[in-house]
Amino acid sequence: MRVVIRQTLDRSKLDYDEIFEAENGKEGLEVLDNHKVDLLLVDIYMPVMDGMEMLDHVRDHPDHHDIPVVIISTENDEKRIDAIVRRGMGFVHKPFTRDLLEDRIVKLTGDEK
Amino acid sequence: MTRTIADQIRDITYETFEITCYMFPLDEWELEDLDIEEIEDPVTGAMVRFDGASEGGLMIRPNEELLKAIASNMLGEDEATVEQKDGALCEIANIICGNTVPIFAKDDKICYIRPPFIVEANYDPEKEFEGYKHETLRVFLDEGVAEIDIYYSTG
Repeated sequence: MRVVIRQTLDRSKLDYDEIFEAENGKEGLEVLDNHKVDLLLVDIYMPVMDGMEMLDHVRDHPDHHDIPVVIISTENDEKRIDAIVRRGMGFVHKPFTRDLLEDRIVKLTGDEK
Repeated sequence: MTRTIADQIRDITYETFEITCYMFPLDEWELEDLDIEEIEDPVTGAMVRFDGASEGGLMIRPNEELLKAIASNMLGEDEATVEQKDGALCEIANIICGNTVPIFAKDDKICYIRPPFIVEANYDPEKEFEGYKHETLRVFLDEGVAEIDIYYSTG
């Protein structure tokens, strides 16, 4: 999915400098420790450390807690999706269209070329 | 009319291919013209296990034509590597499984989808999932054919 997301961003009107990839939540936290990141695109179901556990760590971190987050997942349960949205995160259901992902990111970041 | 579980999985699969790979199901008249004997056998498979409210696994096995098209359409790579084809197939399996398991999980209980992985086309999941409920179906798309097997326990 990371390749598809990268393609979506490449072809979008979004303005960004670099994309960092991580295979799981633990690697994602390592990326955050070593780079300045303006937006997180996170799947819930990942090996080693899942997306929600990773985001708990992010929210507890003084330098990372206010980074905008878009969750991209097959999650179908409306209550759990509502809980994600109530926490101020964007949600994109898989499968998604490129337009939908771009729209969610723009809404969350207000960022466009 | 009650829709069977296989019908629901078929709908999820077609929607996944349509949105993710820009592929569409064959129309009825196209299916009538299709020579089933001519369809090549699956070349590889992707498996996703799940547990929690329901336990089991979903396996998808496309033919060569469809496997190439999945990678090409999803990744924009005309000559995708084996690794890219495997990655694209695993993602398709992940999406279909993630959207299917809520059918088995009652009372809004959670199913945990595990990371997908590649299996040989002749891998027999019957041994691993002996005693589980089983649905099997074929999907016919404009770019190829895939077989789907899902084994599950009811939540």
